[in-house]
Parts: sequence; C-alpha cells; structure tokens
Amino acid sequence: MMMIIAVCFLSFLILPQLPWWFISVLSTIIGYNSKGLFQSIIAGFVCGALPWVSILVYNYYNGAELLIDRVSGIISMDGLLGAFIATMLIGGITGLLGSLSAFTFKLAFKDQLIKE
Amino acid sequence: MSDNLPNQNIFAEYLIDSVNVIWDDRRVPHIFANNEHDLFFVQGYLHAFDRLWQMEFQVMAAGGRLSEIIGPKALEYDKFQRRIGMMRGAKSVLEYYQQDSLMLSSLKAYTNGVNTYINSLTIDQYPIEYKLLDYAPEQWTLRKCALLYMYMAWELSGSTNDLAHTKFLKEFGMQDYMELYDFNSPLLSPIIPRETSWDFEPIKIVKPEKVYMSDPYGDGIKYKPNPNNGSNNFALSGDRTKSGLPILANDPHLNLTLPSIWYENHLVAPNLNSYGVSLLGVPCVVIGYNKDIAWGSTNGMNDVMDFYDITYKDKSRKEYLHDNQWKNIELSIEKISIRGAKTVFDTTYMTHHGPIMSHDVFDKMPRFGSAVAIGRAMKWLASEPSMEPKTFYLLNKAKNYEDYLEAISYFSCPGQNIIFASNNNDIAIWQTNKLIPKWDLQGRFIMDGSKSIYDWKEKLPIAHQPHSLNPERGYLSSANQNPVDQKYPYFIPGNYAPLFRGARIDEILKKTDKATYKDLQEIQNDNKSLLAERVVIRLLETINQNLLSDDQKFIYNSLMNWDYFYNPNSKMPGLFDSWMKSIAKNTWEDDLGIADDDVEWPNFRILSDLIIHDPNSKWFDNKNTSEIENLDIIANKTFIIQTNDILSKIGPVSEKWEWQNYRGTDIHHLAKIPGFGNLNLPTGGDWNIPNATAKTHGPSWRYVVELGDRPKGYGIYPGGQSGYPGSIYYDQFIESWVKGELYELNFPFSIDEINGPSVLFIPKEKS
Repeated sequence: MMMIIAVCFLSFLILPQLPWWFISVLSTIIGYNSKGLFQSIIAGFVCGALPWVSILVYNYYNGAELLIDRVSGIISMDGLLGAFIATMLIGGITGLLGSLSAFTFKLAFKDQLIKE
Repeated sequence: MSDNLPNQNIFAEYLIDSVNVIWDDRRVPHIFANNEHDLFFVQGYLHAFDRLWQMEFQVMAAGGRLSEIIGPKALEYDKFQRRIGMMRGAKSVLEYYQQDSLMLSSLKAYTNGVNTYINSLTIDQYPIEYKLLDYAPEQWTLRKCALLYMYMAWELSGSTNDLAHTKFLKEFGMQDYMELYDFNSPLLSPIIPRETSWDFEPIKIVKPEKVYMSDPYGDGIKYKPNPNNGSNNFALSGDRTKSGLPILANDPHLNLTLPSIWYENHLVAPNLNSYGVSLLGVPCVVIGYNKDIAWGSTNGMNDVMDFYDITYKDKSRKEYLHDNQWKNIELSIEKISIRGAKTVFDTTYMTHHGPIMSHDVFDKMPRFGSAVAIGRAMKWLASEPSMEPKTFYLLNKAKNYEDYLEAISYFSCPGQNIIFASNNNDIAIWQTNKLIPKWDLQGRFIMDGSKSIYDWKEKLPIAHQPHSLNPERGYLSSANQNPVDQKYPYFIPGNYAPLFRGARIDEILKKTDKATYKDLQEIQNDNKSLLAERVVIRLLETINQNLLSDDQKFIYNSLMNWDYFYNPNSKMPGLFDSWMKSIAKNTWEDDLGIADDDVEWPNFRILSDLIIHDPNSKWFDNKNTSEIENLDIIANKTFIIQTNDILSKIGPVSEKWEWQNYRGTDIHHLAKIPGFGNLNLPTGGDWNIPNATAKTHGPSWRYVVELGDRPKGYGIYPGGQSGYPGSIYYDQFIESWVKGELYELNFPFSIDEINGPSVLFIPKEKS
C-alpha cells in the first residue's frame, strides 16, 4: 500500500512535467504492485485523475479560466465543474485501465512465475 | 499558445531597420517602421502572432486542401474548389504580381514576417485548433496571399443564378421574366444619383440576332445565394457636417465568425500612416483611413460569372466547337492529398471560356456559395490576372481624389463600391470592377459557347464605369442595390439586394445636416424596415377579423400599431418575418418550385409590388387548386397559420416575442468548434434594413471617420484581436457591438503620442 501511495504522490509531482501518456507507465507500476483487483482499480484511477485534476484547478485559477470554460463547451458541459468531471474521468479511466491491465497480467502469469 | 504579448525584443532576419510596436488597451498594434519593407514584415509577424490558425485555415479551405486536415469527408468540397479554379487563379494572379516589383516586395516582406513567427514556435505553442485537429502549420507562401484574394472573390462574387433564370425563361417567357426579375423600380435610390449625366460616347455592343435559349437541364444543387451578404457605406460632404469636412461610414456585412475575419492595425512608415482593418493573410489596411483620406467598400453584387453550353465533337469530349472550329479541351490535373487515405488526382476539363463544371462533383455538393450550372463551362472574372493588393497599397498612401482614382483602377474582382472622402472636401464613389460591356440581359441566362459573339469582349473603359464625385445633394451611399438608373448607357447584370436598405439610408441622409459621427453611427444602427412600412397596413386590410381568436386580435392590433422597427425588444418582427416568408412560399412555390432547388424566387421588393399594385396577380393563384386565389386569400390563410404556429410555440405576446429572443445572432467559431463561438446574442436588425444584423451574418466591421487635420475614427467588429479562445481579447468587442457602440480609435501621428506595452523588432545582424 505504501508503495502505491508513493507512486500516486510521485505521479502528482512529476506528471505535470511529463507527456500525457506517461500516466500509463505509472499506472502500470501501480497495477503490478497492487494486492487485489479493487485496490488496482482505485489506485489506478486516483493515480490518473489526481494529477490532471490538480493541474486543471491550478490553471483555472491562474489565467486559464476562459479557455477551460470554452473547452468545456466542446463537450457540452459548463465551466469548471464540467471540465473537472471530464478531466477526472479521462485521467482516471486511463490510469485505471493501465493499472488493471498490469494487475491482470500479473495474475495471468502468477502460476507460471511461481513454477519457475 | 497564450495571449501574452512579447515581453522582450524580437531579433529577426530580413529586417532592414528596427521597428517599434506599441499595443493600445484594445490590443491594437501600432507599428512604427522606418521603411515599408519592415512595416509589412512586422504586420505579417503580428497577424500570425494573433491569428495564425485562422490565416492558414482560410486559405487551405479556399485552395481545396481541407482533406489534408480532416480527411476524405472534405474531398468533394476540395474537388469543387479546385474545379472552379481557386488554385489555378491564385497561380495566374501570382504570375501577374511578378510584373510589379513594389507589390512583390511588400508581399514577400509580409510572407517572411509570417514565416519568422511560425519558425519561432515549438509544438506546445501552436494555436489550440492545430492541437484539436491534430496537424501543424506549414510555411506561408506568396500563393497563399493570392489565394486569400481568390477566397474573398468567391465569397463576394460566387453567386450565380444563370441556370435558375434560364429555367424560368424557358417555362414562362420574357414578359414574365421582366416582371419578376427586373431590378429597376421607381422606389430605387441608385448608388449613383439619378441626376448624374453620362458625358461619354458608349461603346457599341454587337448583339446576336436571335438570343440563344439553352436547354436548362440539371438540378440537384440545393442551395441559393445567401441574402445576408452585403454592406453599407455612406459619406456626407462638408456642407452637411458640423465640422465642415466630410464624414464617411462603412459596415461590410459578412459571415460572422470567431475569430473575426478582420484584424485592426495601425501602420506607420515614411509616407504611409493608415489605420483600419486588414484581412489576415495580406499586407496593408483594407478598409480604413489615413491623415488625408478615408475609404470604405460594399459589394457591387455584379454578375461576373457566366455559363456556356459546350458543343462536343463526339462522345470522347476531347474537342468542342467554337466559331466553326474544333478546339481541344485541355486537361488540368489536380493532386489532392487526403489524410488517412490515398491521394486523389482530379481532372478538370478546360475550355477557353473556363473550366467545365461536371456532374459527378456538383450533384454531391450540399451547399457552397450558390447554384452553379452543371456540365457547362464557367467564365469567372476572378480567374483573370489582376492586382487588387495594389489598390489597397495605394489607398493606404493616398492623399487626394486623384490618388484614390489611381488606386481603384487596379481593382478587378469582386466588384466593389469603393467610397471615398478627403480633407480636400471631396466625396466620391466608384463601382470598381473590370466590367464587361454587355447587351441587355447578356449573362443572365446560359449562353452558347460555340459562338464568339457570346464571349466576353474588352473591358469597359474606367471613365465609363458608374461613379459620382461631389454630387449636389451632398451625400453618397451604397447598400448593394442596383448602382444606376435606366439612363446609364450600359447593362450591368447583378444579383442586387432589394432596394429597401439603400432607400432607408438615403431617406435619413437626405434629412441629415450639421452631422457628427454619431449621426452616421445611428444610421448604422437604424432598425426601420421599409418593406414592413410598405406592406403591413395593406396586408392587415385583407384580414377577416371575425375569424380571429382573442390572442390573434391582440397580434393584429400590435401589428397595426407597430413602428416597423426591428429593435431588440420589438415584438412584431418575428411574426412579420414568418408571415412574409409564408406569403412568398404560397405565391411562388406552386409556379417556380422549391427555392433551394436551382430555383430563385423573386425578391421581396417584387412581392411587395404585387401586394400593393396587383393583389389579383396570377402569381397569387395556386395552380394546384381549383379555386382562384388572390392576395386576400393567401394573406388571410398565412396570417392564421403563422400566428397559430408562433402562439403554439411561445405562447401569447410576451418577452419571448422580442426580436432579440425570437431570432438573436450566433457567432460560431470559424471551424464550428462547439464552445468556441458566442451564441444567442440579443441583437436587433435584419438583412434588408440598415442594421443588417441577421442570424449568422451582419456588420463585420462598423466604422465612421470624421475627416480633419487629425481625422477621428470610431469603429468596432464583433470579435477581438486575439485568435486564442482562452484570451479576454478573443471576443472582447462583442458585447459593445451588440449594443451598437463604437470605440474611439487611437490614431497617433508619432510614437510619442501613444502609451502601452511595446516591443522592438531588431535586425538579427544588429544583435
């Protein structure tokens, strides 16, 4: 668990500086280190959603309010709340999928790994 | 990308000397250069800085290259653009530019400025539209400058109704045609005052003994010319103004988009000090003023596009007949790259008239411009070489009427009514266009492409073109109406606007005395409909009040007491508008067909003539019923239907009936990206009244200039200087534009007269 919290915190710190797809690398690490399905889902989601939502909120209150409002309009949603939900879902689901894939991969090859 | 202005000096190749730029509080750049080359370089840089994506997208669309951005779904559109000759036209225009070293160097300087900005960008700094559509900017070229002019030419002269008129003529004959499609009327207030005398010997025009009648086959293009495209300009002489010097106003009515088509800038170099709006993609100010003169432009609405039937030698269609000779059809092959698909090579078949518009594309075109006659050769003035950039360059530097005359002599297409006023107390207007002398009605119908007598001949001498200088009445105006009355010795075909807008402007100007800019601003915002004033009482006389419900009686009385103004809070325009459209539909559809299907219904002036003078006209009768209908029957029936329709939709007369809520205005993003537009604006006005604000069209730049030692300009456009949707400068002016306000324009003569954020452009070798 500590490992997962650490990676989530790491992602919060470094993702804003990295390309968007790096989220899948971090979420894969999280998924691979998760102890159960539920944990991999939650941790993957948080790992993806947290940094992006943080960036969104930070930018919203630091000069990007108009742009975020307009981009929300593209998906027919209103203002910060719309952008917040969309960002959380997109980031979260991306992280979740990465984490879940890694966890499932680990499960699938677990027996083989034990035999070896 | 952000909307931050540069915060440090910019070192650039190509510059000869340093250039100062100061932005005012509306983000309008004031460019102070020591030579014209540097001036246009920095203008290009700043256009790209604020509007790069728009600049490129416009010319990609014009040149038929949208498939490269959005894939196969744009292929038919791209083929259309290629076949009408946008790329070929731009190429030949560019070759023509090579003859003028001055113009060439200014366009090159501008192009280098654009590219210097593009090359300074990292991927992160690309405008957001590039990221959303996932592509990258490419280098700006001289051909793109030429394409922008082609784009404007198509927007303003791409309308044609030759096929529709030919169909009508074939079915109904010349007498009916002249009744329904004549632009002359006693109500007309022509652009050139009626008292003007034409003191020249007209060119003799040879007319065929028997006018050719085409077989008007072909249909399937479901679109018609947009009636909202148009403009107003007007000028008062010093005799009618408070200052004793002229005042000039202009408001071009175009498709309203974000970013706006216009960009405001102030250009200063030795012998050049002009202020106004520019088109993104070419140098100079297009509409504006300098310290000596002011100018403005409206669309001439001239018919500069004709269609010819082609007689082929055989089924191979390799040769066609012209004056008893077989001529070869040339092939022009266009390469169209498509994102995510194989490149397509499209062939256009060329005659000496122009390209043959072939079926396979045009049957699939949903709506682009206006009805193009299918399968015939298209002759279009814009595809001939011309030098429009020089007109604007010379206008920017003009000092007097003679300079203005020289400037407009270079203008060819689209035909424009360029109005002028100067500190010498001159006012003038010329319809500038390389007009073709034509016999009466030539070009209204599809012509015989096998005989040279139908070909375009030499252009009209400039002195013969419609114009007026310092008329006795002390004012000039244009509103896209017929430019001349019947005394003018030539036939000038055009798709002119109904006369109501121009007549209303002249009605007010006639009474205007000791005017200031505010009087002209009021005309720009005037919302009175002369169409409504002409017909409402007559229409109400036909209504059988015994058949009306209480709500309908209330509406009837409201219409009776209506002042005919389309103000934002007026409650009757919505009903009148739908009532008139319904009367038009009931009058024309049974005889002529559905208006969008290569059929053009006569305009509302013609319909109003029938309402007032001929209520039992045969056109009111529905030929599909056994009953004989007249105006009374149609007006009654449609009043009941339309009032019931609106009552069922929005209930009894209330705030919902106010014009601002009933219609309003939507300004969409140029690529219609949702969220990037500004919708449901509470506007007044309509397309046939001076404030020609419509649903998605309207005054794209309103401006007024008071001439004087220090000319005072006032202006606004519905947008903002920045093309970045996250900027407060993206749509900053819209709220004031809706209210009809104008900003006072900063017009410093020297750099010391203005304060604001600034930046210095420095030649790289000096760094």
